[in-house]
Amino acid sequence: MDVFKALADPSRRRLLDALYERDGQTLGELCGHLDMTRFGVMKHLGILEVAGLVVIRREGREKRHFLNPVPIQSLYDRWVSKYRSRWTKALGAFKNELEK
Amino acid sequence: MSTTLQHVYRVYIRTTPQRLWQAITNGDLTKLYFFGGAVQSDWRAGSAMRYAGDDGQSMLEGEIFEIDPPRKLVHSFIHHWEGESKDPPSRVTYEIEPHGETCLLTLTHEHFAGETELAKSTQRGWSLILSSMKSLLETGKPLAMSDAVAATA
Repeated sequence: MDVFKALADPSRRRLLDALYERDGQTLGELCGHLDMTRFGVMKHLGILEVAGLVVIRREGREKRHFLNPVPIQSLYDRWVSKYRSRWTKALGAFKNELEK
Repeated sequence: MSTTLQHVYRVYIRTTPQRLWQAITNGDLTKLYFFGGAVQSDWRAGSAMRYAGDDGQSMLEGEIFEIDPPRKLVHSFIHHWEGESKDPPSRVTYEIEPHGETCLLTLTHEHFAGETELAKSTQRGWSLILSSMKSLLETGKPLAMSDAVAATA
């Protein structure tokens, strides 16, 4: 799955960390977080974009990069929260109410 | 160039633009995925909107700036929950684009004063909301918000 592959690389995780600290950075700003060529950073951002983890928007002459946390939440929901919900079933009145 | 902070969320949902629009604007549906909040409005540009909790109190209020069903909704965002910075009103835009059998929903939340406490907490909030909305539309079941909230707290 693209999201796992995208997250498997430390440089890409660093880019996501940088966007979590401050969203909407330009390519130039993001290059400051990594010791690699502009082209290398662009390649990593492209992989993050295909995985849906980064949304790239053109704003005037610049492109701005946004962290999209929804795919990670969806992965979490798919596996982790499913198992959690078994654990919390005993407390489940509120949950059942929501799932009606 | 704008210096105000914005966050952008994107999610593909297997549904029609009409059903997605309904999920955003029908209070019986938002109650299932929007932290229990039932949205209320007459859905006209210039009208007020609010998300009411179980106790009838407003969790969130806003004014509709632009409405174009089932494509676009723009409204202001003034939260009323406890424990977070009282930032000036921010702005939320929903954009729906059909892509074959799915829809791409892009939600932009902007005009934050910076990476404020509220900006950070909405990032967690929208992830949960949009992920739960996706689950509701695709499987008929929202997430168990109580679990999801407990897990991120």
